[in-house]
Amino acid sequence: MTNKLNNNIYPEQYLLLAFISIITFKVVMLAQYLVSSAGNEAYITMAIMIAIELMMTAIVYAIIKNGSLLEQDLPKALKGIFAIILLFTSFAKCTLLGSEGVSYISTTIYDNVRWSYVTLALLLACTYLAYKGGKVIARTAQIFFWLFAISFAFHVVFSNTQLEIVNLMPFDFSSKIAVAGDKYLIWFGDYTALMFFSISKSPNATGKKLIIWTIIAIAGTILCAVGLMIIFICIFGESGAIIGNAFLNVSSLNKIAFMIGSMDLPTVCSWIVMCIIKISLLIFAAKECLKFFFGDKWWISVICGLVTYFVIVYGIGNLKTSYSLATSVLRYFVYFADFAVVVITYTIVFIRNKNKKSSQKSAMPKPHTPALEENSKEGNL
Amino acid sequence: MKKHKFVNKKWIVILLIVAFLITFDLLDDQKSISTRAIVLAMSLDVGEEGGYELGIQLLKTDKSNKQEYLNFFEKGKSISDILEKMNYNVGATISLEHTMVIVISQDILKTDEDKALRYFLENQIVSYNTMLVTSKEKPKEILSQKLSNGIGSGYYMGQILRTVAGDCGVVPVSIKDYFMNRYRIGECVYMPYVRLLKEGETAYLGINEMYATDGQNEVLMSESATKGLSLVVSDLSNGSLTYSYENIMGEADIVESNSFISVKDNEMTIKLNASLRDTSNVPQSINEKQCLEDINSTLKGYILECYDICKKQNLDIFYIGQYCYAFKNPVYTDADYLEKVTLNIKINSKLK
Repeated sequence: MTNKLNNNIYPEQYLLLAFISIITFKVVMLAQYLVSSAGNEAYITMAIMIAIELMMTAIVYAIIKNGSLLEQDLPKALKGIFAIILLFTSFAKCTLLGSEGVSYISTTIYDNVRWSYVTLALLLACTYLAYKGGKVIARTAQIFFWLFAISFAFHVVFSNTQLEIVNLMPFDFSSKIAVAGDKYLIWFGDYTALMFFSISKSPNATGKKLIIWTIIAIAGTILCAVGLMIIFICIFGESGAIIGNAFLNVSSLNKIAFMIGSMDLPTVCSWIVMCIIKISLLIFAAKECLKFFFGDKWWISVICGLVTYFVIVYGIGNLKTSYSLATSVLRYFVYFADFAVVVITYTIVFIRNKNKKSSQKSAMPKPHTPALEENSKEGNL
Repeated sequence: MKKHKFVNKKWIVILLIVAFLITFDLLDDQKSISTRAIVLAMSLDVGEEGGYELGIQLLKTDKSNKQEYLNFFEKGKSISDILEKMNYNVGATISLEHTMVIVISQDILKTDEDKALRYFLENQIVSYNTMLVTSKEKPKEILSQKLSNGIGSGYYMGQILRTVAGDCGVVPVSIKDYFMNRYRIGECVYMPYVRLLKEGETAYLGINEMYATDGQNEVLMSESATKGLSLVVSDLSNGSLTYSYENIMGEADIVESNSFISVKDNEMTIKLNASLRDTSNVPQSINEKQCLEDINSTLKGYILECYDICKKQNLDIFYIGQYCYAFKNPVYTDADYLEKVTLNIKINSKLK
C-alpha cells in the first residue's frame, strides 16, 4: 500500500473521525471546568465553541478533498512551517488531554493504579494505530461505531434522572461565557489532525446517503457535547463545579443503578475506544509532521509514542499539573495556531484553485462566431 | 511503500499488547473482590480537635449463609487517615462505592462546611446515589443498633429510603442532591431525620420527618410539613390523603403529582397538579367537588406549614432566591428576600 493510500479515507469515515475528535475530551473534565467558570451558562460556551469547531471541520473537509495538507499545492517552506506548528500543537494536545484520559482510567476504572502502567498500555495501542496510518484509525473507528451507538441507546433507554430546568435559567448571555471559552481554549479546536487525511469517493455513501450521515454526525456532535452539558447542569446545577468525569456521572444515574450497582460499563467502554482513537489521531498527526522532514520511517511513530509517554508520566504526572499547563498561555498558541493553519491553507488553496480555473478558461479555444469576428475587425467591439 | 522488517512483525506487537494487558494486574497492587470489605452504611460525626469519627457497617457472610453485620468505628484528623486506619483494622480494603446511607451528625452539618462530604464526592469515593440522613442521636449509636429483625441498621435505612421514594412524606436525598441544593441561592439543604426508639432491649428506627439546615439555622419538620416538602420538591406516585365533609370521611391515593414554580414580580407561585384515585375506604356516594375542596385545602396546608416553619428560621426551603434569579427578579440579592416575596399556592387536583 502506498503512503498516499494509507491516509486515504471515505467521507463517512471522515464524519466519524471528526465526531470522535470533537467529542472525546469535551465530555470528561471540561464540563466541570466550564461550570466552575461560567456557572449555569456553561452550555452556551460549549454551544458556541462547538459551532466554530463544526465550521472549521467543514473547512478542513473542503481542503482535504483534494489531498492531505502536505500534498497540497503550497510552497514547501510554508508546508514546513505548518508541519512544525502542527507538530507542536498536536503534541501539546496529545500530552495534556492524554493525561486526562490516563487519570480517568487510573482513578475511575482502576483503584489509583500508577500512571506509568496506564500510559504504557494506552500508548502502545495508540502508537501502533498511528504507525499503521490514517486508514487503519478510520477503520477502527468504523468497527467500533456500533459500540458507540449501542451504549448511547442504552443510556437513553435506561436513563433515570430528574432534570431541573431551573438550574439552566435565566438563559442569559453574560461575560462569564467568554471567560470560560477563553480559559479552556485548549479543549477546543480538535480538527487539525484531520488535515493529514485525504478523501476519496465512497462506494457506499453517496448523494443522499452522505447528506443523511452528515446530518446525523452534526446532530450527534451537538447532542453529545451541548446536550450532555445541558443535562449535566440540569442534574448537578452549580455543584457541577465539583463533579468530574461528566459523561460517566450522567450515565451512571440510570434505572438499574439501585438494583445492580451503577451500570455504566457500556459508556466507559465506548469512551475508552474513543480516547484511544483520539490519541492515535494526535500521534498520527505528529508523525505525519515529522515525516515531512525525515521521510517515511517506522521509528518516527515509536519516537512520538515514547516522547508522549515520558512527558505524560514524568513531565505532567498528575491532573493538577495538566490543568495548570492547559490553562496557561500555551492555550492561545495551540488554539489560534491550529485555527490559522486551517484558514491560511484554505485561503491559499481557494485562490490557487480559482486562478487555475480562470487560466484554464482563458487557455480554452474560443467558440467560432463569425458575427463576433466581423464586429471585432470593424472595431465595434 | 517498501515495508520494513518491523512492519511484518505486527503479530509480535499485538502479542506484546495482549501479554501486557494480561499481566497488568500483577504490576500493581490491585485488590481482588475477595479482599475487599463492601460497606453498606456509614456514620460521620465530629471527632476530637477538629477531626472526624467515621463508622462503617459491613455484611459478613459465610458458607452456611449466616449473615452478620459488623460495625467498625475510627477517629482521625482527616477522612483519608481514618480510611487508612480502617483498612488495617478490618484487614481488607474498604470499598465505599456501594454505601447506601451515610448517617451524619447535626454538628457536622453545622460546623464542617461540607469538607468531609466534599471529600467523598470529589474523590468519587461513594456513589452519587448514596443517601444522607441525620439524627439528634450520635451517628455511631444509630449505626450500631441491633434491630429487632436482625438486619443491620444502616442496611435497613437504605432499604426503607429506597421504598419511600415517590411517596408523599419523607424525601430520600442523595449526596448529589445535597450538593445541588447546597450550591443554590439560600444554601438550604434537607434530609430525612432518623428517630431511635427503644422498648426495653428492642430498638426501632423511625424515619417520618425531614430536617433542614443552611449551615446555621435548622428546622425539624413535622410529618405534615414533611408531606408539604415532598409535594413541592418531588414528583409523587404514592401516598394517601384523607378527606372529610359533612361527617363523611374517606381516603384517596395519589396516582401522580408534580409541581411547577414560577416567579412574577415579588410573588412566587407553586402550582401543584395532583391526580388522585378513590380507595376502598370511600363511602358509597360522595360529593366529588366537596372531596376535592377538602383535599386541596389539606395539600395547601401541608405546603404552607412547611414554608412557614422554615421561613421562621430564615430557611429558603423552596429555593425562592434561586427561582427569583431564574426568573430575573433581582430581589434575591436582598438579605431579607424571604420577607419580600409572597407565596401563592394553586392546587389543581383530579379525582378518578
